[in-house]
Amino acid sequence: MNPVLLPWLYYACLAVFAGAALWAWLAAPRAWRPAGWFLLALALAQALAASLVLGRPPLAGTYETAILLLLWLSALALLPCGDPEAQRRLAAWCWSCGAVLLALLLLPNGQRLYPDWYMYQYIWSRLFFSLRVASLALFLYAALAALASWGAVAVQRAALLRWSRNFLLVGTAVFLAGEFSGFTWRMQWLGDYWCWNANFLEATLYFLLVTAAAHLPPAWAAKPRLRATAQAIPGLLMTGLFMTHMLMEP
Amino acid sequence: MQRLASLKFTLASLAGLIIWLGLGVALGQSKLLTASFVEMNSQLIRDWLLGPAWSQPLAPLWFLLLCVGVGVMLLNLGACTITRLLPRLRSGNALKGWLLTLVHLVMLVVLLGHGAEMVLGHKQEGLSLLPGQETTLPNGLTLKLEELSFVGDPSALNLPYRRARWVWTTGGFQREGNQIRLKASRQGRELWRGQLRILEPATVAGLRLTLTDFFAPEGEGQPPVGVKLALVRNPLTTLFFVAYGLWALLYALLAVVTWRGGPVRQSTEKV
Repeated sequence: MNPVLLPWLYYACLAVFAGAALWAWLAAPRAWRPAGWFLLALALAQALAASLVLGRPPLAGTYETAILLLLWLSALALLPCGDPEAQRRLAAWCWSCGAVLLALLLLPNGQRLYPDWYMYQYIWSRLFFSLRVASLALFLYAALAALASWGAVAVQRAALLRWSRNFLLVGTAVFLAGEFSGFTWRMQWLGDYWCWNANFLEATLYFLLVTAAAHLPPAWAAKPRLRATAQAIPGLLMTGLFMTHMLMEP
Repeated sequence: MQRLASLKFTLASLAGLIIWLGLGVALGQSKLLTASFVEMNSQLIRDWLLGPAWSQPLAPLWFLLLCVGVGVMLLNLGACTITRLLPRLRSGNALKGWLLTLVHLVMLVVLLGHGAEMVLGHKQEGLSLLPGQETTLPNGLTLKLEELSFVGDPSALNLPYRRARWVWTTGGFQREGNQIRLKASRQGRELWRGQLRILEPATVAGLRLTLTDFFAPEGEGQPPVGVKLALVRNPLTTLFFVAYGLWALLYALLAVVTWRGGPVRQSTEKV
């Protein structure tokens, strides 16, 4: 696989995702759906090209994470959430977020692929990285569904908030499975599953953020904007921290 | 009891823990806690608290207040289970009620297992050995590094984790070829002799021996490569892993049941 193809796919994704986001914000319901399939195909092509260049699945680092998040978001954007107009709003948010993620890669070191570290051959390490990014994508999608509920009419708002809550739960299950894999990996590698450092504390913090969003007092949960904000914070904060760490890596 | 089980109290305890962990992340990244974290990782927390912790009081104070925060959350979890979750089992969606209760109870087991990991058994990380060298542990077990085989460039050892990833690629680090032969004995009686590789630990007399790293010793006349070992024994590790796996599974089941349940009244919703 010629690595030169990858930047071309990247710029194509950036342009098409930004255009599609604009289109989804402006177009009538249903008209955006064919574009969604095209975006998914493009994101899939980019992920496959990266896999062929790397000789392994994309796992960690800014570029690889963004490629995977884009693939997840473009697939999730096509899921029917129960209301066509709510789904159009959510797709617009997903594609806008995808365009922002891709734009972040224009920063220095943004488009750097990670080397084939020997640990990446180990199944528990692969599972940990893959499930961590998958859970991040699900939390981000839940956050975007919550944000899409802002300004929506009551029926759509209820559908989007419920959708967001469901994906917070799915994301938590995937996140815990990822942590289980990471614990197993560390136990085999370094003798103990736990480590006192900023990364482990941050992972615990992620879990607590999602837990807090799911434990709003009834009076607060009844306020749609407050509930939407609480459900949006975990995914947005996690993605922000995750990408910032990797962009700042020397 | 009702106040202790309230969602406002849950949220307040979670918020407190989030802030405290956030502070730990910030202190860890700003190097204020880095040295203490290294000490905390190299031994049981019990031994650390009774020994070296207090040379830098910020770290044990942060840790003890974290424990207080977790204790408050557990108090809330217990009260919530008794006053809210258990009564819910007899009404409404029984399956969802059971799953919610089990998710909370299994989390309790996970936390207990994690807490036990800090105080029970034995832990020693970063034990350095050179070829031919032996060391005796406090429990009388003697470990001797009989042979060391390292295929590769020793000058690339000692790199920090992030830089090492760029050097120790699949082609650059021969995990199968880089191995040691270790002998474990007690009072001259051989208990075990075998090979260790990275990611392939062995268990000897209840102690898990893990080859964690190779390093290049500094100084004249030293052999080119030494090894670092981790020696860990914890009676509840298996329980922790089983509970953690079950916890993830229960969350997945809860997600499925919640999904199938359709719209939920927002005013009573608690996931």
